[in-house]
Amino acid sequence: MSENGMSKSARRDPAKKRKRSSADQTQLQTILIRFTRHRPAMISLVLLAVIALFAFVGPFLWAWDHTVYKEIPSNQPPSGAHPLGTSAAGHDVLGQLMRGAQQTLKVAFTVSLLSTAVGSVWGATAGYYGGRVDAFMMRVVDIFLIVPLLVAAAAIAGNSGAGTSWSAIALIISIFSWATIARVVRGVVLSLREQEFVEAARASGASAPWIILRHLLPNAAGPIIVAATLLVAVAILAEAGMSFLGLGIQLPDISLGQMIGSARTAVSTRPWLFYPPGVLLVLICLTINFIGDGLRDALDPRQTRVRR
Amino acid sequence: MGDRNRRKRRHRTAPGEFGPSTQGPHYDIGTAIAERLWTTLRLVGASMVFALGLAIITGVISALRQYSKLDYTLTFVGFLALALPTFWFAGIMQAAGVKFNQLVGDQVFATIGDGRFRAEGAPLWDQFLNAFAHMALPTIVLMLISFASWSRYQRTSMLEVMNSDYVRLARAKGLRNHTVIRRHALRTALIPLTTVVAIGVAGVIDGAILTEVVFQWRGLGDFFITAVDNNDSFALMGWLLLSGTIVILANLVADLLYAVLDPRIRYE
Repeated sequence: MSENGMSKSARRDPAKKRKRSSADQTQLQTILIRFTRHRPAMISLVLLAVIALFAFVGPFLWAWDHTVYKEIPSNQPPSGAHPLGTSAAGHDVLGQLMRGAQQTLKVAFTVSLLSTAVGSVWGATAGYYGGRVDAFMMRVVDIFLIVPLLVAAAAIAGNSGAGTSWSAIALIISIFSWATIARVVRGVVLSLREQEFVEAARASGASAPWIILRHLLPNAAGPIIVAATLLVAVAILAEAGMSFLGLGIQLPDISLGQMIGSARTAVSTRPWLFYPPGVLLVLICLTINFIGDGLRDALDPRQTRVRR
Repeated sequence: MGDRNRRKRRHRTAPGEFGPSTQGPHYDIGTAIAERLWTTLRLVGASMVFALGLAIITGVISALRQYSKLDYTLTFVGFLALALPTFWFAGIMQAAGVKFNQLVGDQVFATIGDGRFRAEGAPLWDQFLNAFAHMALPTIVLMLISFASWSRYQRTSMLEVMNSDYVRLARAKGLRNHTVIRRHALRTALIPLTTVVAIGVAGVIDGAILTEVVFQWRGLGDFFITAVDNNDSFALMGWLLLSGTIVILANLVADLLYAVLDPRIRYE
């Protein structure tokens, strides 16, 4: 990973920019072409877009939302009026599924954004300063890394009673997931900071925050993007686990994990309650992992083999 | 200063007193943890051993046959397993176990409970059968989750090693293919996996909680859930202390394993 960062930074080095423009592709174009040729990633991207549409636009188009209605008969198997059946309390499962996917996606992307922002600045600062600062900052990271993510988040959500709104859940998961990003970024920055362009910036009087934000982080963009993508999948599974345990998003609001949790005892008697949210969760995680894989291949300058 | 006070409290934590529980004066956190530790450790240990074995085998096979059909299939299975929510998969396995029992007409898999006390005092073979019936499904569930990411790491590091100069040298010396792969390549390729597994212990503990809830085991997962439900902060702290210790111990073992695996690393 360190060599990866090195060669990319050399390419982005402003001094060498003129040389590169003689080539017929810019770096961004190369990356885009590589990504579009990664077939699983492209299919996943389309699929994820469809799921996002289903989650965010779907509720406007579908007759029922995720709440209980007196008009909905309880415990009906899938039918024309309710394509995915109904729950015992009188929910329309399709409506629940839309809302659940929406909450899940909102939590996951917020976690990824928050953790990446905090984690990459933290990791870059530690890597840039080195020495005692680095040792201290990375020990803090270690503390967050040894606590099981789901357990810690569930304990806080359960104990503080904050586990109701999606934004609170996202914040709690972020607290325990930024450390992985910090570790990745530090590794990249450790090799970047020895490069000439950083020395040049320092010689021309740039301050440490400027160097970190304008020189180090942009050059570590590749690994950061990949880690952030994979974190989305981690966050989805963490949120689903919390909600499954009843410590995440609470009724009357709904999330996919919570749907599975409440259908746990009905796997064989009322399968329409159990399987759809699980399949949707698997689909979302699968597509995101494939996109992450495609991004990794596209952003890795060592990768020469063009994928079919 | 309150220094003396603090020292007193620390002294009391050491022999296993974790503080008062909100679940009544008769609920001793230390005893409760000790009672359940073996149940959970058994599940975590078994699934990690199986996951590790399977991950190394499939990772090496994937790497040796890179871009073959087998490699693509294994990769896809890995991705699928990585995307599976533990509790959902556990629910499916549980339902499948019940179906299987009905089909065979016999209680092959026990789908509920850890069965610790059912076979107490029975002959050793019966005890083993009982433990197997209860552990089989949860172990498979928990195994698959960590297996997925570990086999990916094993594949990557094996690929890297197979393209290295010293493996080429070993081949040039005329060593048999089998010897090159086992003694030269695999040994080095195991080093990155050691790190990943040590960190992954935290994830396995997460998975164990969810698995225990689905299969209704009375292990540390159940202990954790009850503690959260009762707002039992001291019990939670005791729990986190234990899981933290396990993860740190795993990392220590990984550090020591480096020296065994890599002849270049020596701890003086």
